[in-house]
Amino acid sequence: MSSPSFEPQRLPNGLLWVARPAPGPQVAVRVVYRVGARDDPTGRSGLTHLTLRLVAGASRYLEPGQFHRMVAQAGGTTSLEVDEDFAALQTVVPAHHLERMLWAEAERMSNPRLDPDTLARARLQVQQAVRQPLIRPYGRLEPAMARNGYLSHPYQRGALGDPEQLKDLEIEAVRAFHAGAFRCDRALLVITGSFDEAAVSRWVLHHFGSVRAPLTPPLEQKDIREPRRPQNQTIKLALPQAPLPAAALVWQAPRADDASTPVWQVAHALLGRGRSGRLTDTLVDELAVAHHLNLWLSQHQQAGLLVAQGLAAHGQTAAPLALALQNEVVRLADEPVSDEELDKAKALLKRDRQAVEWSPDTLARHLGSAWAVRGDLQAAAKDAAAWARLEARDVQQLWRSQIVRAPVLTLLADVGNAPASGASGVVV
Amino acid sequence: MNLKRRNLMLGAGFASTVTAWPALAQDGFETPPEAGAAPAVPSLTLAQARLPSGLRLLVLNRPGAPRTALRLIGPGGWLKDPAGREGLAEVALTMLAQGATRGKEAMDSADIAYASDSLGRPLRLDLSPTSAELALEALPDQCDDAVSLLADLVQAPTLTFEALEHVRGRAQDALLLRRANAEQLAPWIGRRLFWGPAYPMQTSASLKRLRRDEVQAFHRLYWRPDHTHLLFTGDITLDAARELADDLYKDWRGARSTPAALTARTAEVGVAAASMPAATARLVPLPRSMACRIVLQTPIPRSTPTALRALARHLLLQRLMARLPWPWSSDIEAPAGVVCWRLSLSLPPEAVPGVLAELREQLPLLAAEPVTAEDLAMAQALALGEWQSRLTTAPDELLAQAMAQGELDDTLQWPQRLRAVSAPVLQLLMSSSWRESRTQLLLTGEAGAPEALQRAWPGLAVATIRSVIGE
Repeated sequence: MSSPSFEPQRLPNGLLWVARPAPGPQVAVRVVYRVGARDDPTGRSGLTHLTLRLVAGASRYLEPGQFHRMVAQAGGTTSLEVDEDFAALQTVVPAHHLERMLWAEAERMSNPRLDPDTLARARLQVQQAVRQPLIRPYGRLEPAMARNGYLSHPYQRGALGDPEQLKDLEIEAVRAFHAGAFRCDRALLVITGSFDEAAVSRWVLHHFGSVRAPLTPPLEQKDIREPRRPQNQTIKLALPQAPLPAAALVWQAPRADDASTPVWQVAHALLGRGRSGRLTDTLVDELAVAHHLNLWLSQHQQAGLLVAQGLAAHGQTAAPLALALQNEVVRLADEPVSDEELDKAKALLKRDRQAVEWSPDTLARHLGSAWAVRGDLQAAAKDAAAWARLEARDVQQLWRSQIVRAPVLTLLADVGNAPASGASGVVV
Repeated sequence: MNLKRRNLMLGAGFASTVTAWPALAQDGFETPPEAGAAPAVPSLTLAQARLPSGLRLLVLNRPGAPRTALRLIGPGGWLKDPAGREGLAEVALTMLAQGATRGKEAMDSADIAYASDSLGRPLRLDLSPTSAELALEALPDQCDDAVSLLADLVQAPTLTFEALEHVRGRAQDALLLRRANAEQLAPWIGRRLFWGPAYPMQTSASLKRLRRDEVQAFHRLYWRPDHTHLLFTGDITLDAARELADDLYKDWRGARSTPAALTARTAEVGVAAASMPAATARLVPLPRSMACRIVLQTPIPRSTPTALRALARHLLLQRLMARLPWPWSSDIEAPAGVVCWRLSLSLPPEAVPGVLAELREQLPLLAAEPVTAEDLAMAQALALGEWQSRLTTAPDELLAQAMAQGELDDTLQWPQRLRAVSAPVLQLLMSSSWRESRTQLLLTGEAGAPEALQRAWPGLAVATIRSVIGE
């Protein structure tokens, strides 16, 4: 196999495609549409999710269930993913089934069956997907972070949508949305794994090259600017199933393609990655105020959040945990970071970056997201090059300007009816 | 290539009054192309050696792999918990990461975490019914550091009183979390229903009873060189692995005495002796839960070959997803005694009665459907694909799980084992499973009014968590 092309190629109909080798006997085929939950029309949250399920469900030459059976007969797996910024279909099969999968994905792209019967089934699937996380005691916490973490951006609606807003949706509205958003000229086809490059080029041109370029105008996608949070805010949550108090702190973070992203990633690794990240080391092992901690750096195409979330250890309450979390996060700005600690954080980042390329499945996911969210297939490689140059003072300088001086949202959830002291009284 | 072959049928979509085709349909692409020839899939070769200390070394050589996974595997899984000391295996394993000595220097939990994170991936502690495992990953030139760290943790753990209290507190919190989460709780209740009260379940009381001397004795008993495997997967040969391990494990000696208190009444004995589980149906409500976890279980004989079990699991799952298209999961658990085949699904409460009624009618029929040659081929492809995926992403996990379950040879010879299964044999296993008289149903969480559920599945009884797990 010759060396991979890093830049996607464009077919005459506007479809972009890229093929990259990956270890193992399988191949992954991923179709990513650059339309996400943020593009759902007002009052129709979940329309992207619903449409993706319809596209995945049946088409002119694929009866309901036939695609899944075809994948199963090959010994593969298939999934769909809806994100705030994109919607994707992914299938992994043994390499000798690659051309069949390209046929099937071209078929799902060209001729999805959008009719009232399939709509009813897709509605049920959306409802199940939305309710599924709620079985977990802290399942309402994450949606609350997005809902309150973003001040006005549609990202606050989350990725899955609201089934209530889809109840009275007519199939014509779905067709119109599909025509404007799920289009070959807004999609990227990713092929990863073990393949012959010349054969893949031929197959892509054959099966996808004749997908008709859309006749209708595309959905208008706006670049929405999220305002800066004006002041600190505390919100009290009710999590009736939760056995331990929880606290979350939410700071605003830049959009994914911001030049400072590699610095945020290293800061995140210093605080939250591994067993020796500062948050776990101090709050779980040393002070024993937390049972479990997470730090998420969630950067979307147009805005992002940094979320520090913890479950309090037995006997603790939410507010002191939030204070301890905040102190530890802020401390990164001033407490010295040794070269050894910085190297450890970079080693954790590098390993995860490397691991992406170990299987067709993970590599296809990564490339699809890099294109849809960062607008650059090589974004991760550029990040890795930037990490190597970063010094502790770069991280601390960013932290002082972006975290220490920035307002923070605090979410507090105590157990039962115990009041969360210091809360502004808003109950979500 | 002739692109005109796929000329668009302009107007075809508009002409149809039944279905509108948003992107206009094409001719010439009605059926998929044939798949290429399937390549032969070789079995795995695992190089093995035994060190003078008794430690067994296993190496899966993967040329070109950028990192090497290392895994130390001992037999101290949770089925080794003595009666009344449920949680001992987990606490003993967790405490290994809390402190150890290297030469004359002490390493606390922060030092251990730092050392493993510096290798690029955090130390993982995995406990299964039949094994306790420590796993690290390293670049080829860092493997000596990883081997050395693993040696320190199992050969010289400090197992201090303070560490026990810290780990005990965290285990108590984890217990609270598990009991509030229907997805986590359901498999444990399911195991109690299946294997009976002998199946170990941690309780607050059993965790409180654990003493430091018991943890130390448990550690000495189950982390012995003659019971331990050191597995390498990566770009490394057996000779290179032996060179790394020889020095660090040559002086490791196992305990000479066996404390009777730890071995006399282990859960393993009771589970192995458990009788064939009876059909039952239970609803265990979890207050304020927003959904319901459905678990269905059926026994299969222990003598059933591993590959045959896997084919049955894949085939039934496909049939179930086609008939009742929800996100089902399926697993087979074979710790000791009778083997449990399990199906699981989470649903909104309002959907539960309808799905239950369909399940009661359809599940025995789906299991009893004839197994065609096409069915067998699909199940074989799925089982092979799953094996290949796991080999690509986490080969050490795949092999460690096989070793823990005594199925290493099957896993190494997986392609051949799958091919050896015939459709009639598969049909026999499928049709003898999931009969009404052999199926257990468990609902955990919020499932709506019991009356509606009982209409859908007669005989369903409401039970409390306390009645199932005793606390």
